[in-house]
Amino acid sequence: MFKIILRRLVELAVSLFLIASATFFLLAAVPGDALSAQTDRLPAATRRQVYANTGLDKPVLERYGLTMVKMLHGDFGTSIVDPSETISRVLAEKLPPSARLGLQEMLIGIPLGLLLGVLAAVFKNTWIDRLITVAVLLLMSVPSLIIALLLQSYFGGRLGWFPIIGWPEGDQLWWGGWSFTVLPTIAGGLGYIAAYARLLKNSMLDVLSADYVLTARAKGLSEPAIVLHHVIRNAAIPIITSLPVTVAFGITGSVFVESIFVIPGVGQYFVQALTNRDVPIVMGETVLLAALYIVTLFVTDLLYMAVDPRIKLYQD
Amino acid sequence: MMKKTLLDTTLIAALTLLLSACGGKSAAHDDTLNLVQGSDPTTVDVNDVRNANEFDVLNATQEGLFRITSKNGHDGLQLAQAKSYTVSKDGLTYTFKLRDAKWSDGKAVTAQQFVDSIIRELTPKNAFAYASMAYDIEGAEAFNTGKGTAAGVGAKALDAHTLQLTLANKTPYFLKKLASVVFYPVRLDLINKAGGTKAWKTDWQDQASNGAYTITSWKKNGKMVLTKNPKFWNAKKVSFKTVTITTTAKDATVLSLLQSGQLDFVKASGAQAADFDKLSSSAKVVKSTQASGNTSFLAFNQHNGGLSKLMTNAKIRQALSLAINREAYNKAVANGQSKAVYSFVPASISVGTSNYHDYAGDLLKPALEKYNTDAKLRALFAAGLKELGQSTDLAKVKLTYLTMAGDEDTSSFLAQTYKKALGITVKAVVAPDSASFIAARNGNKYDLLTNGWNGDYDDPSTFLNLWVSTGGFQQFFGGYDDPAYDKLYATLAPVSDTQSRLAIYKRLETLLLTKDYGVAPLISAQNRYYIAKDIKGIQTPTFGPDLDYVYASRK
Repeated sequence: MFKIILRRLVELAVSLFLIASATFFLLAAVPGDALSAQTDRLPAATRRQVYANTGLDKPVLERYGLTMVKMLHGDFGTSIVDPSETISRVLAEKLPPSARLGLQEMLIGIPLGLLLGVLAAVFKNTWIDRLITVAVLLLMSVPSLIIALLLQSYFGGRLGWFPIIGWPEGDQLWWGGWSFTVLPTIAGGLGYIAAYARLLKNSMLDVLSADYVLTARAKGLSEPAIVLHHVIRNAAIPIITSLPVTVAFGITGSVFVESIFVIPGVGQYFVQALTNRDVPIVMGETVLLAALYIVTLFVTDLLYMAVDPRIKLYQD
Repeated sequence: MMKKTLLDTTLIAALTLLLSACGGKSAAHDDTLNLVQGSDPTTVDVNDVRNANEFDVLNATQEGLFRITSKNGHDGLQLAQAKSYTVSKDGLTYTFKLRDAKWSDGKAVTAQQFVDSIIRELTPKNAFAYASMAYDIEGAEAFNTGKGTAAGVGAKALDAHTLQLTLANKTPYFLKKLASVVFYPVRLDLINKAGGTKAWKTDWQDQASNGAYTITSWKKNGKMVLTKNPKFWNAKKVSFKTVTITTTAKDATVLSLLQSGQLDFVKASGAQAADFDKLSSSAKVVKSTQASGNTSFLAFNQHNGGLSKLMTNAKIRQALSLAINREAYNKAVANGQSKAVYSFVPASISVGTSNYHDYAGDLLKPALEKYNTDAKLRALFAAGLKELGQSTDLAKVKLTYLTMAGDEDTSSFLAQTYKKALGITVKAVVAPDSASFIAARNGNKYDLLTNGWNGDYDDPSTFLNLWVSTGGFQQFFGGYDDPAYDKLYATLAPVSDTQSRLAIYKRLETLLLTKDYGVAPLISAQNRYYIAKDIKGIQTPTFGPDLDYVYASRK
């Protein structure tokens, strides 16, 4: 086990180095930079001074070297667009709203999705199955952007039941201010319902046609007993193993829901940083998120082993 | 780091207390003005200001010598931090008496802080975008371009309450410029304590305000909260205790807010205004329209003639300018919400108190009437080709229109118009974002591009100095370069009487538009304001801040 973790850590370091380098050079290769729009119409001498003040006047390789050395010390630098911000300050301020939104969406969306998945599989080829399948298809094909806008203008604007925009802050950051969170949670949670209903239904159908289910039926077990004891447990493997990645993606922000409901989260901020070519923030974001995903994938592997002892991570 | 977190916590705790103390929802609503902005300010440093929403916020939190007012679409000046002022007979020395005013931290506002602001604005190392706004002051340009010293700048504090500014030339519109946010006083003591100019840009927590409000909370992509500053000299006239400014670029969200009465004011123009007009039935909102200080125009690449090498020819530029039906362009591109224009300086601009457009008229109209058929326009274009020694087969002409994503209406309008009127082909090259657009433009990879200009102050020079070849701006708009224009522009410097200035400005614009055809003005945006019915006293100046709500109130 220790060897595996050590090996994973080395892999992590190498991956992060490659990801950081690729991000840096891709950003450098795109025309324009963080200051080009802002300094566009300035006199040449003033423009040169602005570049010198931020260090963007240095050659690409020198900037690459400086960035990587600083990053080794855990310093991603200050934002070019907004010099009082660093990636750690941005995350400290913006991760909580995104994380809470994501968690609420998943807590509502995943159980509901699983329930619908079970129903669709158990009542296969009945009107229940068809209803659920159509609903899932609809939810998957209509963009969450549209659903969010509809919810906002109807339940927020016309009926006035919920606030149109905003998010709890201060001591309500993690708990309380629920009315603000209702519409965004629904708008974002529908996607989870659809995804997990489909996932569980497919996986259950696979299991239901397996030989040992036939055996169970043959020895006269009741249908509920078969589903509870034999089917769900085996069908749960793909669910359990896809959960960590879902959670990692879920808590790190969604662009559409955040921008429509004016939620000061990470999703929106990072997309802006990218269009602004704000290299330090984009680098920090990419590297930290990449690290999170790599760790998550490792956790997923461990989960595989836990739910299905037949799976081995590495050949010993 | 620690200190800031602590400050944050206390601030939030204080705010929560404040909010709960307000009690009922309606009471808080009466005391709060709710606004939106399309994006967060990139700076709250008065010297560093660039974008409209920054002007608006800084106009509420800081104050200069004057405040720009607005009446019937015309700007005026009102004494603010200045109590009175005198101008010397030669028009070169301005002396301002300051009133007894305080900053939000209790310190006095002094004349030296105004001097500090001008010197800081001009300091080359700071590289502030609007430094050239101060060039009317003696020694300012020299200091800013590294040829002079700070001591040589004509800005002096005679005593704590007396500020004296000496100009390089008589500048009749100097006070209109001086009212800009760029010249608001600064606190060097606080800036230095916070670690200098770079960090100061968005460091709202360490700032002091000499204006009506202070920033008490700012979440990017969320909202900004302004709270009334009790130390403001005229605080008893300030009605709203709180102003919230939500950041959202989504028109649908803005509409929902407006419809449900959760938004008190929003400004729109062009196609966006057409969307918002669906609201006109709402009883809660009052609409009004006002001419803007903006002109949209078609620029021709005169740097090197563009990719087609044809744009150096005045006859070809003339044919391209005259082939456009401005009314049709307005309908196609701005849903008819802007105004078709036939001159470059917008109708909102004055010289002294005389309206410039009333004097100069629609300069392009005579030529448009003369070349009123496709045949005449084609002959003109062909004559231009002949002058360049090229084939006069119009079907072979291909021009490149450089644009950004989201501008499909303009691209297809130009392509169709030029195909029909001139028989030439226009191909659009679409840059995905502004950085890529700038790169393509600086690389001269275009024949045509459209752009807009918003004036910085109420005088035709804010539009006509763009075309001076050494001014630094014409290069972005096609690179117009006519020594005759430069020479004529230079004759303005010693002239201060209104009639003579009107005449020179008209000659300049006539040369630019109808002789050189250096640029083709197309439309001018009309600002549409949507104001909650119970709000009064909102000012919407054409220049300076878009929106001044400092003395607004709820009926």
